[in-house]
Amino acid sequence: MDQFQTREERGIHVHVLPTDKFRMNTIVATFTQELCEETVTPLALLPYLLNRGSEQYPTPEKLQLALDGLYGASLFASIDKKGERLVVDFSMNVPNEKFLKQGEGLFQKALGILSDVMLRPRTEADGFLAEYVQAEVEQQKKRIAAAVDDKINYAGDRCTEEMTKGEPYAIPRLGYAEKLDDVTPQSLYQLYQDVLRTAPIHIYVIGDVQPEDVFAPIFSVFDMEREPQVDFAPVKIVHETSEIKEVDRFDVAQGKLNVGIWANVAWESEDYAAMQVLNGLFGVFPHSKLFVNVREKHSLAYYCMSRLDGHKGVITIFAGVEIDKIEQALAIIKEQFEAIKKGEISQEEMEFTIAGLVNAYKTAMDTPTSIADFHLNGLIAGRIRSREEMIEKFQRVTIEDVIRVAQGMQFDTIYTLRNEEGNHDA
Amino acid sequence: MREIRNEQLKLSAFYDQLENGLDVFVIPRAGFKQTYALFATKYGSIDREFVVPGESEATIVPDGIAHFLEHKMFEQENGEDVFNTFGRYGAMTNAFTSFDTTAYLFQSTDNIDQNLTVLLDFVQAPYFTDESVEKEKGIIEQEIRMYDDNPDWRVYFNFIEGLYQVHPIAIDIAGTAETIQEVTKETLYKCYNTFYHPSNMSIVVVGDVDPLHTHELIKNNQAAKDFQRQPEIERIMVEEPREVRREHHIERMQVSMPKLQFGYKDMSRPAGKEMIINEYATSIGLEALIGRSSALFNRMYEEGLVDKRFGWSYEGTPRFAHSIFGGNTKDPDRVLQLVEAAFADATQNGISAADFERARNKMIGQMVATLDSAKGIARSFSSYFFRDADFFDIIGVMEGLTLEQVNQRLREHLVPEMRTVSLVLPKEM
Repeated sequence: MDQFQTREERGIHVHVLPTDKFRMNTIVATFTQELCEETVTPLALLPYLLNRGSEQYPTPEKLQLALDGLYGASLFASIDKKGERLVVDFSMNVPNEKFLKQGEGLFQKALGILSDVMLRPRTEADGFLAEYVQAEVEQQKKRIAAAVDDKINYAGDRCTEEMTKGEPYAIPRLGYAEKLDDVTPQSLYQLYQDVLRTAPIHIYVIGDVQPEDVFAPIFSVFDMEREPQVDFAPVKIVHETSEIKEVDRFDVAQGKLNVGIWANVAWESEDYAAMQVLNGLFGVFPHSKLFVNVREKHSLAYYCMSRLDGHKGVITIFAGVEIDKIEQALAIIKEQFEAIKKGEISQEEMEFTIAGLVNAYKTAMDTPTSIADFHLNGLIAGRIRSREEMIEKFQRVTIEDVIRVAQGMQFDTIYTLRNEEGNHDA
Repeated sequence: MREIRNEQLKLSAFYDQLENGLDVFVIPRAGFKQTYALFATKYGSIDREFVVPGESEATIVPDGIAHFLEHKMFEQENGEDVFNTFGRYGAMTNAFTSFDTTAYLFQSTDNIDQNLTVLLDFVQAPYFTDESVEKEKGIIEQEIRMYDDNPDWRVYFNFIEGLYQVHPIAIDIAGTAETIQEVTKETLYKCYNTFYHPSNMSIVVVGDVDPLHTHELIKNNQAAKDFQRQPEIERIMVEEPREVRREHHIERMQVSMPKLQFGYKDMSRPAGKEMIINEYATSIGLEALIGRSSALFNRMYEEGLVDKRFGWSYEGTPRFAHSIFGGNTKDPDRVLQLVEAAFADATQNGISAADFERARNKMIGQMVATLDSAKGIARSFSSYFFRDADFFDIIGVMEGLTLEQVNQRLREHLVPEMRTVSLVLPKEM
C-alpha cells in the first residue's frame, strides 16, 4: 500500500499507485528542466500554450467541452519552480464512473485528452500557431504583472530575490515580461521539441486502476525519440551571510516584514530532518516561537510565520505588521531566533513540533497531487525518502541536533514593504 | 443513532441528536489517514440583533463580535492556549467565522479521541478577561488591515455592500478597527451564552473512524456536562428590500489590472430541499451560460478580456442569496456589455438542452470530487444541515431537474435592476 509501481522507458517514468481510496482518478504529468535565464521565459509559457488547444481539441472551447463531457474532468497546466528546476506540470482529475449513473471508460478518455494536449499541439510553418502564441504572451504579461496584487507573496518573493541575486534561484518562476516579445512561434516550438527529447518525464497515476492497463497505453502515446538529460547543474546550498536591507514602498495599510536566512543544510544531508524541526519550532505552528511571541504575547501581527524551501536551504519569515512597529517586530523575531540557537527550547515544544510534522506528512497521503509532488521533490533533490523514513527521522531529532543546525544560521536579508511616508532608510 | 446512506456515492452518515440538542454526524471514509472534525454554531456576522433567552428586550451587538468571539475561544482558564493542547496530540486546529456560521476544527492522524475531547471541551468552556480582550484588539486590527490591502477581498466586499441596503451581511465579518473597540468581556459572554448552546450547534466527524465508538465518545462527553434545554433564539432580521443599494462602485488601489465583480440579489430563498433545488437549478443555468465551455466565456477569453480564473458562484441560503461573477479584466465595460447581451438572450430564449445536460454532468462530477476531501465533506455537510438541508440530496436533485426549471430560474434571477457592479481599478501611479 502507498507504494508506486514504476516502469521506465527512454527516460519516461510512469509511476502507478493503485488504490480504491478516492472517488476521482488522478494523472500528473511533468517535464523537468534546468531553471536558467535564457529559457525561463519561453518555458514558463509552454504549459499555458499547450493547454489552449491541440490537434483533436483545436480551441479552448472544444477542449473544455471535451473535459466537461467527462463529467467535469479538470485539466490544469502550470509551471512550478522547485529549487533551481522548472517543472512543466499537467494535472488531470476525472471521476470514477463507479460513482455515477452513466459514463464509461472515463479514465482512458481523460488520458487521451491529456496526451493530445501534451504531445499534439496546433502548429503551422514549423512553429506553434502564431495566434495562440500571441494570445498566451499577452496573458503571461498580465500574470507577471499581477504578482504585485498579492502583497504577502510579493514581499516574500522580493526578499528571496534580493537574497539570492546572481544565482538561478533568483529567477522568477514565470520569467521576464520584457523577454516575452522575443518569443516566436518557431523558437518556442524548437524549445518544446528539445523538452520532449531531453526532459526527464515523470507521469503519476493514482486511483482505481491496474498498473498493467496504464503502462502500455502511456508508452505507446509517448513514443518519441529520446535523449534524456541526466546531469543537472548542482545547487549551491552553503552561503556566507551578507547583510542586505531592502525596502519597497507602496500605498498600503499594513507593512510587510520578511527575513531571509541561509539554513546551509542540503536536502540529502543527514540534518535535513533537524532543519525541518528547527523551522517548525520557529514559525510553522501556532505553538511556534514566532506565533506565540510576535502575535500572542505582543499583539504585533495577525500572521508571523517561517517557510522553508528544502531544495535551496532557504528559510523565509513572513509577517504583516503595523508600519510603525516593524522595528519592534524585527527585534522580537531576532530574539526568538537567538533563543533557538541558545537551546532555549522546551521538551514540550520539541514534542509538539515533531507531532505536527508527522501529522502533516501523513495527511498529505490523502491528496493524490500531494503524493505525486512529494515523490517528484525527492527525485529532483536527488534523494527520495519515504514518508515512513521521514517520520522516523523526525522522531529521532534531538534539541542538540536543532542547536547544531541553528548555529550555522544568520539573518541574511531584511526586506520591508511599507507606505510612502516615513523614514526612507528604515 | 441512525444511518443515512447514499447508495450511488457509496457513503454513509451516522446521525444522532443528543439529549442536550447537539446534532452529531459521523461519516466514515475508509483509507483516509486524517480525521477532520468540525464543531460549528449557527451564528455568524449577520446575527447582530437578537433577544437573549430569558430577556424581553432585543440586544444589538458591535460589528465583528462573532469573529472576535471566535478568536477569544482559544484562551483557556488554566492559562494554556488551545493551540498548545492540540499541539500535544499532533493536531492541526483552526476556526473560521462566516456570515451565518462560526466553526472550530481540528485535523489529525493520531490521538483522535483525545483531540475530539479537546475540541468539545474548549468550545464549551469560555474564559475571557478584560485584559485578554483588550490584547486581542491589536491582533484583529492587523487582520483587518491585511484584508484592507487585499484587492480581491475589497472588490468582493464592495460588491456585497452594493447589493444589500439594510441586511447585516453588508457589515464586514471582522468589523472595523473602530467597532472592535466596543467589544467587552460582558458582550462576548452574552453572545456566547446565546449562540453556543448545544441545541444551536452541530459536530461533523469525517475519517477512517468507527461510527459507534465516535458517537459514544461525543455522547458521554456531553452527558457529563450540565446543559439546560434552551428555547429557540429569536433572531431579529430586518426586511431587505428588492432594490440594490447601488448600481456601481469603484475603489482605486495599487493593482496591475482592473478587478471586476458583479452579481444579482435573489429574493427567492427557501430552506430545506427547496433550497437545494433552487441552488442547483440556478447553478446549472449559470454554468451553462458563463462556465468555461460556454459560448460567452469563450468569446471573452478569445478577445483576451478574461483569463481562466474568471468565474461565477451562487450562494443560496434562507437568510440571503446572490450570484457573483468576476475576475481580472483589462476592459470591464466590454465584459459587462457582452454579459448583458448574453444574459438578456438567455432569459428570453433559454439555454439549450445540450448545454443543460453538459452543465449538469459537470456539476455532478464536481460533487463527486468533493468526497475526496475530508474537509470538503465536513464543511458541506455542516453548512447544508444548518440550512435544514441534506448534502446527500444534491445528486438526486440534480438528476431530477428539468431544462424548464433551469430556464425559469434564470428568468427569475437575472433581473437587471437587481444587479450591482463592483470594481477595483488601478491607481494612477
